[in-house]
Amino acid sequence: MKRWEMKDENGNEVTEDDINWSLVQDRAISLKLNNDGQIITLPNNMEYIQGKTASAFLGSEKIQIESRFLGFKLGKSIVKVRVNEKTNDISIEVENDPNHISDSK
Amino acid sequence: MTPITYLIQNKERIPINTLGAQSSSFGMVAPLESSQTNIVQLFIPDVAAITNIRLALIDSGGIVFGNSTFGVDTRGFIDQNVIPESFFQGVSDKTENSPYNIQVNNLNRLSSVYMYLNVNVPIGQEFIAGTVRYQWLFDYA
Repeated sequence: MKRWEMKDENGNEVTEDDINWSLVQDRAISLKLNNDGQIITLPNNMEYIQGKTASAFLGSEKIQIESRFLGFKLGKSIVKVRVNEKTNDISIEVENDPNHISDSK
Repeated sequence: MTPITYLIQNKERIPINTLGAQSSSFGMVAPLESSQTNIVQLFIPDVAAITNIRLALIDSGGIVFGNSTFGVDTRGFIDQNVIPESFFQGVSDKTENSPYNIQVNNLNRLSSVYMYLNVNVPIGQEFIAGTVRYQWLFDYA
């Protein structure tokens, strides 16, 4: 079983199997990735993201999940933890947050 | 989730899947000639959004790869007269981290911009129609 699992401010726990991420992402106070029983947990009370990277041959109607990631915003950056779907290799990525608004004037 | 690649012909979007094509077909091309330019666009209809779109050349169709052989260009509009002036710099190993993946901007939340693709057949090379293959990569939530 591979899925994200979150808890909201009221203590409700929901998973990828229950609801669309876009409906709950603003309420999440904790976020985990359950990767076939291996649990990856992010720090609590962050602004979270999650997603998947998929591939599709041009012209094909099928996709293949290449990796899953979850992460959080930290200052001007986004920290992502990515799990390769085939190998289960875990990597950490730090990228600039394209939506970050600078405080400086 | 069902990805759709549109082939743009006469400003109409035709799902390439319906053409029965597993690869992009450029027709027969003689040595030292350029193929027609195919305009394609990725559309993912049933997700919140796609980001970080990339396009990879994954099979050169029997042509020995050259750095000005596989044209690729990108536009936010349709222009049948565009001939690609940029090129794939290598054949991808089909992984998301391949350095030969081309970064593709979004046209909107669910679609890529238009990709212009062609093949310039080198002298002495045999081009087998329909065997050049490409792969999309994208993030979604």
